[in-house]
Amino acid sequence: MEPTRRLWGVGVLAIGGAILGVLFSSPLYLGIPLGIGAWILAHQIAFTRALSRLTDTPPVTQSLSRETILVGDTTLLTIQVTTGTDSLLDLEPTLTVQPSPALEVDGPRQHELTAEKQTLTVPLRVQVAGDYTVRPPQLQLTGRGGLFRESLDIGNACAVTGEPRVPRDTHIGTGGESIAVAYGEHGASYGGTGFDPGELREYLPGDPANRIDWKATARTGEPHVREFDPETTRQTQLLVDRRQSMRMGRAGETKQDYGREIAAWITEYVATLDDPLGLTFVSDEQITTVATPQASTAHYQRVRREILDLGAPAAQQSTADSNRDRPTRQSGGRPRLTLNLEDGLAEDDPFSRTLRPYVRDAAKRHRVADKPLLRAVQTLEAGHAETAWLVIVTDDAQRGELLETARLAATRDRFVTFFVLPSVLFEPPGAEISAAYDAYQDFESFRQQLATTTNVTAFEVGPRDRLGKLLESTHTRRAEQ
Amino acid sequence: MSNWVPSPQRGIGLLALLGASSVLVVLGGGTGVVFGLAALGAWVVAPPVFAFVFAQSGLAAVTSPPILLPVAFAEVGLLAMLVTDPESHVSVRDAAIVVVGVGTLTGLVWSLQPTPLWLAAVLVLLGISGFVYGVHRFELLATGQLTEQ
Repeated sequence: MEPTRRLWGVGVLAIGGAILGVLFSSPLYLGIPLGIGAWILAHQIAFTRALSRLTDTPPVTQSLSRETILVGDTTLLTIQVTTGTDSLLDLEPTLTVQPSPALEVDGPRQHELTAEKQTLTVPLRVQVAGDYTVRPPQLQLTGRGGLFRESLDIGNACAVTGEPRVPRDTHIGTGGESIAVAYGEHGASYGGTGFDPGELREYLPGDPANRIDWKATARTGEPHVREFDPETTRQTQLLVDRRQSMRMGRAGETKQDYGREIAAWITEYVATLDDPLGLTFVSDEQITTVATPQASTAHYQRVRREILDLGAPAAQQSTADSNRDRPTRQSGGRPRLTLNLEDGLAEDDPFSRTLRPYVRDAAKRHRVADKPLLRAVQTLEAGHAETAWLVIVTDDAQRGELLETARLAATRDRFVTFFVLPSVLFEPPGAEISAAYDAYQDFESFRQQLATTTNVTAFEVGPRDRLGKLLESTHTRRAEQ
Repeated sequence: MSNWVPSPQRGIGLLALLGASSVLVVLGGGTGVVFGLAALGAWVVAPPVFAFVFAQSGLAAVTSPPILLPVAFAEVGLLAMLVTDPESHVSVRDAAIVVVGVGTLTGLVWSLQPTPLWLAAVLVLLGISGFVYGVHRFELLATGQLTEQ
């Protein structure tokens, strides 16, 4: 309970009366501080009782429209004020919203209460992921007579959780349909979808129908089945596109973020098969072979770590790296001694981790003028021609290059799987839906064209909710027409 | 002029003040008239406590030494004026608590006679301050602002 200026003024009067009594030697002047004191006490007791009643029966309740939101999103805090027996308005109430400091308030925090029943709506925005509390609103009240003021937290607290923007519910499929593969929580015990390449041969009586590769059958006109030999060690090379176009999308949900998820999943899948796995990053100006194909637990962990660290813009990295740049090399050049030294540091021990950044920088970087993805495959041809499975994670920004890459990479002994992130699914929300669907159809045509190449499979990857909205809006429009 | 809200409480308060002012006029003559008019004027434009200050000052000025019965009559009138302040919303119980408390303080100070007047003044001010602080601590407790440490 705080005193107001009026109380101080009245207090000065009381002191003045006491002084007058001493000066004039008249005890009746002491009646002034006694009378003023009684008046002050009466107001103070009445104010205390009113505050106690408000505390016992809070007239304020607050609630959130959404208790879990993504970083950058907004939730609405609704505060309802309903006065009871005592008229709250007699206490000149002012309400102050008290969210956690990490929550941004889109609007005024203080509100004058002017009606017996009032509803306030305050938008709150989460800036950083985490759990936050919205404390009860603070009511500033002034006692009748204006002698005392009090600020009380009255009402209930609310909790809100801000979740980081990361790729969620990733869609992998063809033509808007998700493929029936285990992604994420499930084990990689699947097959038969063309994702798991194996030997193709003609259908023989007695072969199970679920092994028929219908795409090959349609292409050749004769039934074909695909077999997978689990005993075969299949060298796998992972090419991850990290060019400028991959940074399209909202923070935390860019093409690169989804590509990273796919690449990490592929790594886990290959690790379960114990196949040698290599990793190459392709950026706008260079190709970086991060890891040559090896099969060991430490190697898989390292590859996974490199993929998960895929966050810094390639432009920044190339700028930093240019300070330690080596003379450019043509793709297909002979590996230098330092490349072998890098291979010797594949173990995940402190010695290798410390030395690897210095050695990595030496010889793995190839500067390319254009079509870096194509050049990467050419480099692969020269260095690791025995790669049986090539997985490329990229977007559809350079479609011509992808087609060329597919034709070059897919051979009789090598299968290629493209995970293509369509730009249309990463455009800002609010784009014209019909244009977006046309763009998606165009992408689907391209994907099908890519997949017609022998031994090539192409999947679309993107946010499932965005694709769902796109398809749903189009279906709705067509139904209305 | 915001105090000119017609209500029975205000009417009783005005009557009480008129009664006290009449004592001032009878006992003090011209001086009493001045203080009475000042008290009435303060009652119109300010909270009743200011009217009380003028009236009490007038009583002290015109009755020296104090004359028991007229002073008692005037003090009752002034007390009634304070209690009937419609702005206070004080319940009967709370008013009784205040009257008993302040009356007890007055009796205590009076019982310390012979005491220098300055000491009595200090005791009165300390007593009132102590009461106010005590109600403040009670308010903290009643509204749950005091937590166990």
